[in-house]
Amino acid sequence: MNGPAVALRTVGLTKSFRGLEVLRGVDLAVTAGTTHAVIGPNGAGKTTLFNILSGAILPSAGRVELRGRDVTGWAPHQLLKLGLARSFQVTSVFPTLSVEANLTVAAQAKGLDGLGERVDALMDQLGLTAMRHLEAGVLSHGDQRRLDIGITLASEPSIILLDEPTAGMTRAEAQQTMASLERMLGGRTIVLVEHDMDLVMRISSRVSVLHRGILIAEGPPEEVRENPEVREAYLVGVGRE
Amino acid sequence: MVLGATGGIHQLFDLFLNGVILGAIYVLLALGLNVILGLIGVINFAHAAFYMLGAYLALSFTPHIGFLPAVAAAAVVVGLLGMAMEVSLIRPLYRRIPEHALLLTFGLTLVAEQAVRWHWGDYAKNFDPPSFLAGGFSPGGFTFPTYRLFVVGATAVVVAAVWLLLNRTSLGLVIRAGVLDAEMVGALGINVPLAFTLTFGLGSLLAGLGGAMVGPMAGLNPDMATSIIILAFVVVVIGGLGSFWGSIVGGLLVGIFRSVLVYWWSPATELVPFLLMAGLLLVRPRGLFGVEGVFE
Amino acid sequence: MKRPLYKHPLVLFGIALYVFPYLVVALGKSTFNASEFLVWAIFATGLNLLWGHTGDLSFGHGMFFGWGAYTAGLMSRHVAFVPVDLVAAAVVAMAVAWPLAKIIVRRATGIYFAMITLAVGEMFFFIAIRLTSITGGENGLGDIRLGKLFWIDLTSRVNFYYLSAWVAFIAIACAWFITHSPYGRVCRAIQQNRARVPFLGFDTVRYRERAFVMSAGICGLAGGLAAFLFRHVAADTLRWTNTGEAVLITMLGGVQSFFGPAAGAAVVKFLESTLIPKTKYWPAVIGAIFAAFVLLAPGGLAGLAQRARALLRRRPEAEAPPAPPVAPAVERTG
Repeated sequence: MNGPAVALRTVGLTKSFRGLEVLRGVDLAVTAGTTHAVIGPNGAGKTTLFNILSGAILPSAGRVELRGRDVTGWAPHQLLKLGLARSFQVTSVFPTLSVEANLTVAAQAKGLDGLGERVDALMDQLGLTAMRHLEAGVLSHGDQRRLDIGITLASEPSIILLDEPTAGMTRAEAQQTMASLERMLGGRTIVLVEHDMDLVMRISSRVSVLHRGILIAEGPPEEVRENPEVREAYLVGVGRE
Repeated sequence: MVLGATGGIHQLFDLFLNGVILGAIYVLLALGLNVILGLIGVINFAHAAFYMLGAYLALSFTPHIGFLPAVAAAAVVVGLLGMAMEVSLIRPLYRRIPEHALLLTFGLTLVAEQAVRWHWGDYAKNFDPPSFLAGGFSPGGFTFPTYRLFVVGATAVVVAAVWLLLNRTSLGLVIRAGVLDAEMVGALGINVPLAFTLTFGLGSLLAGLGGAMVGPMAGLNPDMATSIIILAFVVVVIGGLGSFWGSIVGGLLVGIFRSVLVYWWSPATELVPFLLMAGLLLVRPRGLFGVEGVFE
Repeated sequence: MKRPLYKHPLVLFGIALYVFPYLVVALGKSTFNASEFLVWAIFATGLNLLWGHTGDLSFGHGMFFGWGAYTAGLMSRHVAFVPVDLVAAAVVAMAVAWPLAKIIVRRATGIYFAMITLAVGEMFFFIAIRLTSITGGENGLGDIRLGKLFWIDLTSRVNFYYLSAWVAFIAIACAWFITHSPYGRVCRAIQQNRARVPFLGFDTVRYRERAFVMSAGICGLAGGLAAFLFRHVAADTLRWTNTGEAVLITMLGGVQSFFGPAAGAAVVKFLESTLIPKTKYWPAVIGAIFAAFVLLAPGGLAGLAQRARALLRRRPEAEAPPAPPVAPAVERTG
């Protein structure tokens, strides 16, 4: 029999923008139920990879498979129906809708049954119940970020792409956020783009390193950290944190 | 389709020339709209009102300073008016969605139309071309009205000047860059407000010029604005939002097709522009020369 | 949020409809005017079902008003039963809107969408002018028969008002249920942050298309009612200038509010009827007021009312939300 199921896979994924090759033959395999981090210096192609995985853009070549099914070129809303959701680097909520409405519309995708209860439970988990009637736009940045995460999780996805979830947070905030995320996300498949190395080491079971569009290393976090090529990429790569 | 008789060819040629002239005016209008749309991302509904004002101002100035100076003066005044409008009314709207500028300029168009009626009267007016541009010559049965040739020539000169502006000056560079990415232009530290104002002035000037020249061809009436705005929009859609060559090709295409197809099918004048637009929308939504990603 | 039935907005609206003609007459206008105001209230609410819902501003919805008007007028000659004619008006408007939606919505948004819809409306105008045998061309369509509604004689202005009131109530109730449904919630999300909605699992194009068609239906209904009110249909109703007036009214009333456009219709039309006899340059006044609102009070009258209410309660009003933080623009190429 095969090993543990592969939730998300890319085969030979390539993307060029007007002659500029941003991704080159990327083969990625994310095992179901694990947290898989994608790291790399700025400009490595991580956001492009995420955009392709979430259906926002089309690859120039290559395949994307979701639980063995070819979903290359599928639109974001179609992928969501299969259980793939993503979050964004920049907080992206619905500003004049209430917190409750924000989450309700996000949870709708999973169906209308028990919508109210699901939304209540979610608000509870996120600690936003007290603010349920406030407009999303007036929340503090931190609260908005939590709402943003809530929106991503509301449709109860089985595969979640997290795009720099702790971007712009202090060390303390980041730890808090990741802790609550871990609680809420237990058991699901997560693909994580992050710059905070400590975080990556702590929570991911596997790390892929992208550099100038190519996967230069992959393996358990400790292994990757010791990899000399990876160290070099971060030192001389395009831009540094 | 009978083209055999000589009368047919001459008439056809007449229609063709008419089409080129109509096209020239559309080119000016579309260019003005596109320059503003490309950089600023705003549709200036009042563009048509500027066109109308240009016509009426030229009419009023001519008895005092002569025809050609009047045309130039009308265009310049309208350009200045455009800049004044931009600074006072449009600028506060940049932070908002672009539809607000569209709506504001729509309201202003209503005001402008009434202002024209109030000052110049409700009825259509005649505007005779100056004597040195009147008349024409007819070699071999093909008529070339002098005034119409003047319009084509003047437009060609102006379009060339705009091309030079766009491709050889820093303002032009800013405009072209802005078409592709308006946000970045700001981030580059260029004096964006000034560039916007000048661009608005340029766009309005082109509209005013078009209006000033059209007067002796078609007469003036207070409905000029509302009837031309559609065609200007259609040309912009056909040519591609924010595109220089799109304005030219689109304008000429619409003008010529409108004019020439009448020979075979009389509703052509009105319906052809829309059919062209519909066809283009189905086949190539961004227009003939449209830039990818603009408003898509 | 459970609230006693008598406080439900639709019930209040129904009461307002009952009281409205008395108010109008008290202010010096006629029952005919009251019906006219309702026609525009329906039209504006219909337009707002698209604009205030998904954020698409159509400058061509007047064409659906016109289609509805022509349909109702022509139908009236064969089926002298107004409700059926009105339903036909709405259905035809939606039938025309559907292919247009399929073509335009996918390919255009924002200003581009406004420009194209404006042009399409004009195209129908030019076609209508030419089809003289059907539409009466430039003279318009006459000979529109009101007939009787069961035992009620509709030529009486008062009776006609009550017909209009019922039509308005039904139309606006429909719009209400659409807006307050799960579907409506997604639409409003589209308006707020279109880029993110597909990632929530919804095909924004399909939602916008449906909004386009439904709003066309309501505009068509308004047109049908207008045909019976004026006993005449002019081709002008198809033009962008007609839509322009509806856009003006909707914005003045308040795009983000549900009843705003209807209120705006009453106010603007009332203002117009007062101004017209006073000066022939009345469009300038309306235009100037409109421009002022766009500049200073883009929330319209409803927005002003909200601000006033907040001030009265002495609560610090919620600040205008910061520009919506939109997800990084991702293009779907190919």
